[in-house]
Amino acid sequence: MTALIQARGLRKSFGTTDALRGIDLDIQRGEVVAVMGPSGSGKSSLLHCLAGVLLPDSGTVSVGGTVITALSEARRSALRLKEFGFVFQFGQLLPDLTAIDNVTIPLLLGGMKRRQALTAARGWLDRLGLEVAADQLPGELSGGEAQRVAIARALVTQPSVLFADEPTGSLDSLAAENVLTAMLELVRKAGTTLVMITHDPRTAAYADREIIVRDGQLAATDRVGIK
Amino acid sequence: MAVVDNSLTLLGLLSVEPSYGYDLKHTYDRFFGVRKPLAFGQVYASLARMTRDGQILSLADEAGGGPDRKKYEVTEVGRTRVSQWMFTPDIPSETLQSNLFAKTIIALLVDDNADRLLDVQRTEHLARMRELTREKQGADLMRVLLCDHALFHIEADLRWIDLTGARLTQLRNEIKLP
Amino acid sequence: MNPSVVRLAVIGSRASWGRLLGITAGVAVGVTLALLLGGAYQGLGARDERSSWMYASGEYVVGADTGPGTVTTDMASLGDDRVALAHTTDRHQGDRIVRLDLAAPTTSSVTIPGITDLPQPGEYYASPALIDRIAQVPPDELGDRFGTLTGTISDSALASPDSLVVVVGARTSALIERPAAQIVTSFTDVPHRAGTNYQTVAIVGAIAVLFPVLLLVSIVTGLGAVARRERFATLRLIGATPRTVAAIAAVETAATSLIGALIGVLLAALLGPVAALVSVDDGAFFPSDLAVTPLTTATIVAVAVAASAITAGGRIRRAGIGPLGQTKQQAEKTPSLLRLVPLAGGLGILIATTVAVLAGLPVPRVGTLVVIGFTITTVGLLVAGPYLTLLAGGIMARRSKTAAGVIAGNRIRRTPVDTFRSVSGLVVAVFMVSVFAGAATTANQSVAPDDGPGLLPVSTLIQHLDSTPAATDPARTEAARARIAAISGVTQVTTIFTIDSGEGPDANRLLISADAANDLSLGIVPSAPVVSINSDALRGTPAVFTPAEATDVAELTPRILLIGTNGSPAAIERARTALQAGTIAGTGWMPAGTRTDLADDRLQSMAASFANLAYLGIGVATLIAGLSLAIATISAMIDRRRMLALLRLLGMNLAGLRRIITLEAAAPLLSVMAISIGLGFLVADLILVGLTNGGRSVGWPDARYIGALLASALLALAAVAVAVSRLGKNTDLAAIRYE
Ligand SMILES: Nc1ncnc2c1ncn2[C@@H]1O[C@H](COP(=O)(O)OP(=O)(O)OP(=O)(O)O)[C@@H](O)[C@H]1O
Ligand SMILES: [Mg+2]
Repeated sequence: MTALIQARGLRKSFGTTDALRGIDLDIQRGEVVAVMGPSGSGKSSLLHCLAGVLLPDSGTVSVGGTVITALSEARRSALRLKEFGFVFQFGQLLPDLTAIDNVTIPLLLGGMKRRQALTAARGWLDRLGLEVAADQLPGELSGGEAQRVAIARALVTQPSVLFADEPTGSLDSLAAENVLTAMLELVRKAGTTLVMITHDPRTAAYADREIIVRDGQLAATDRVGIK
Repeated sequence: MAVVDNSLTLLGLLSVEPSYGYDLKHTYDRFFGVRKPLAFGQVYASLARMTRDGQILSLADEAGGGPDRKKYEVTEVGRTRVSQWMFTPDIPSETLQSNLFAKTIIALLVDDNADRLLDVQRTEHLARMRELTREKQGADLMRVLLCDHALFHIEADLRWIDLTGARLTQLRNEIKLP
Repeated sequence: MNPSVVRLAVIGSRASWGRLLGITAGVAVGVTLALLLGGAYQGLGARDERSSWMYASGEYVVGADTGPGTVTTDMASLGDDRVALAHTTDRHQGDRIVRLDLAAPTTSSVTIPGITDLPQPGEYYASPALIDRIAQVPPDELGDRFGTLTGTISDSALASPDSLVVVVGARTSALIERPAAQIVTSFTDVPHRAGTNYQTVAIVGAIAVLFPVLLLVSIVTGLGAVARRERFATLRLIGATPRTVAAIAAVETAATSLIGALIGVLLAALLGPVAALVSVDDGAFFPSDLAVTPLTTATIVAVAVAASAITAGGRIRRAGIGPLGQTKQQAEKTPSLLRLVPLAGGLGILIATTVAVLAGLPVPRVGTLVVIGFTITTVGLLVAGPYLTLLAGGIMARRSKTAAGVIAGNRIRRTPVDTFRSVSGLVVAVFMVSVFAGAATTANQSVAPDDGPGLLPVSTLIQHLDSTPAATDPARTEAARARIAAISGVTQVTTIFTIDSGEGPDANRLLISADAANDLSLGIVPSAPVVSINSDALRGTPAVFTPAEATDVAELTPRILLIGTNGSPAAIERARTALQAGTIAGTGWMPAGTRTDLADDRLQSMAASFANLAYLGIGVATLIAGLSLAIATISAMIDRRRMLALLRLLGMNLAGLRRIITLEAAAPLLSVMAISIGLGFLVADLILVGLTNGGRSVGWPDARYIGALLASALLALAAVAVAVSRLGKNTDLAAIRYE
């Protein structure tokens, strides 16, 4: 079985900094992968390249057989909308929109009717235990609630891959654990592939495996073929 | 319970360069014996056992030498043993740190891949953590709390591993043998 | 404050130079306009004062009076301290000439400002502009009306270099027969006419110009605050209080706007001569009229600098920059219904004033009340704007079907004050333009009288005949008629009669011989020797002839001469000159004029020149407002760089982001714009009705107004387009990395 995400020879530099220095990586469909490594090692850059947010200077990324590094920005936007979901550490909700409106945005972007989108959004909020928070503004939510809203927004389009960059980085242990278990339950049930950057070993412990990025390269144990 | 494995550490030190028993003890104390120096008797007992196992051999006696006047050198068997030791991760436990520390120092001293050593250990730790995390799923609270206790301790080790990993270059410069 | 701290905060990137440049330019433009308007205010007062002597008045001469001191045909009867004066408005090629006929003995001690001696019969003094004109056309078109030129009226007695004024010497005998003659003792100390209307406009104009400038300063500093958030945050982190940061911004802006203000002073001085060419009421200005006193200049500069410094400081303070660089996303207070109060108040004042005036109640200082009402309404519109914006945002947020609509609608709903601020300049400009356009519609109503079959041709001169013995003598009128009919370009001369005795069916009717009526070819003439013509026919309604009782025009009194011409200005002016030179019409109560001339009145030309000025001023204000909108939009984009980047990450394309930004500017513009336009016309109507005692009301706006609205819309569009064109740069997905 070929991997869902295949990265080959990814290189990316910002000015004089080499953020990625030749990364080869396979991620299977439905796999939950934790990306770890020191600060500044290139984790976020790798994630952005895998998601088609950044274009690598060289190397290719293919997702489900499509070489996304060869697509135009517009096509990659469309792909992100349909196939990918994103969750960040914090501050990703639109501050002017209520929780439920935030969740509807990707659906509306996909051309769904507003009413239908609201129904779908409410369903996801319910699944994440946010029934009461639906009509609150992000400023009125706790950090954990906000992260769960972000997860609902990321999953509402039922993406095939969920990219998360320190999704629990700004939460305390218990809140982190609750958010994480909620997210993983949904992800596993839907068979979504999850690529999650984390500094926290206990978060990484929820993954099927972890890969370690150091100085823009994968640690030896994670290299394709060695596994 | 994995405290520092003395004889393997001594073997590691010997694989850096041939040394006299007396010097060996002092080198050991410098890195690992800050709080509890090694007794001479222990050193000689270990050397004798390693010689017996063919891991080291004593170079030609110098005139009038007692045991402390013998210079020891590691054999190929000894080297393999050291390497095997270094790259075999310890079972994650609360107090493995000192052994891991010793391995790291030796790896640096013999110019082997200390990064890899740490990665191997990290993988082992994370595997254990995954196991514990899986165990938590659906378990009763008591079980969960027990698992969490173990998880936090392993995590502490992991943090140390990460930190050490980030400081390897610095460490390498600092322990250059005189 | 430590200068190096200020340097850290102020100097830096090219962007900050752009910002300082923006403030400088905005203030410079504002101060220039304010100075010119201030100059206009002073100049309007000065010119009214200079020309006040023309409005000298006294007792009317009553012909039959025989008491002591009665003025007789003998010039000496006036004595040395009285003159006889007849004041008429003459015309030449559509322009008004102020004509004063004056009889005084050579020994008279009465003086007239601007001329050395009083003119003797046959002599005249004229203003330079009139002298030029006399020299340029044949004497039988203009010069022959007055006699011999003996001197020039000096500028010190004229409102404008364009003023057409003539003081003509006459005999007492000629003057006292005229109904308009008065006995005047002094031409100085004449209380000058309350020409405050233009001054009012100048003040309102200054306010209208200053507002967009302050708005620009506020928005530019807002942009500065957003762009320098990190820098200000650093200052806060190392211990600067919010006050210090606000003070830095204030000092920075004060210094910048001082430079701008000084440039403005320079520009005003340079533009003064050009601005003086703008024709207001009596004509262009003397350049010296527009020069403001150093004190006024200093005051305007000080006010501009202080206002922009306070605006900038306040804006930064409200931005609430914390030590960690996060601008507090302060929840804006939701605007309440109370915000409609000032608007209602302003309209209330205007409506109350108008109603009171219409009801005939004595209203003191109508002009002042109208200005106050207008100003409060303008401010009220600004205060109400956020509330209306909130409503629009709410509707949009609920009803929208697209992501862009939902996002923009909610953004507007949460930040109505900020959102409205960016468009408030344009809203005010549109309101003002609507008011002035509405007021100006009155000017268009009858500027060009209709011409057509059945209507008295506009090329026909109408001469009302004074009730002097000479004029009403049929034989002499007939002689004059023949003489005028012989002038080249005159096609026919028709006499219109009335009956003297006020009884019978012909009383108060205009009568005309059937032959003459047929010659007019204005329609069917009934078969009767004498017919009557409706008097409205002289004002441009179709002529209707009805049989009259009288049978012979020779028994009637001549009242009006209709002089048909070939329509060439020369012919009209020749006829007019001939009429004035003759004795029958002389310089009558009302000199001969075409329908166009007679319909022309001061209020209309006043409104027209108001409108011209207003379009000019509003044009500038609109430009500034458009600039503000562009800057505000860019600023909002920088402020939300991260959010926009996030949306792109979610898969929204650039077009979607553009839609959001455009909607955020368009929604408040459209929602408040319609109200501005409606209110503008309502206010224009109230002002007109109030100031003219119900004499006038607004009509349909002309093409210029539609043009102005279109221009505003285009400007808004361009402003947003410019801002949006920078979207690509500002939504680099890298922005997501930074919090
Ligand atoms: N847009 C950018 N411009 C300049 N340098 C960048 C940019 N993005 C990343 N870098 C640099 O590339 C390197 C890798 O950055 P990256 O964000 O991938 O690290 P990271 O592993 O995610 O770190 P952290 O754990 O702190 O988030 C860093 O040295 C960073 O400074
Ligand atoms: Mg990162």
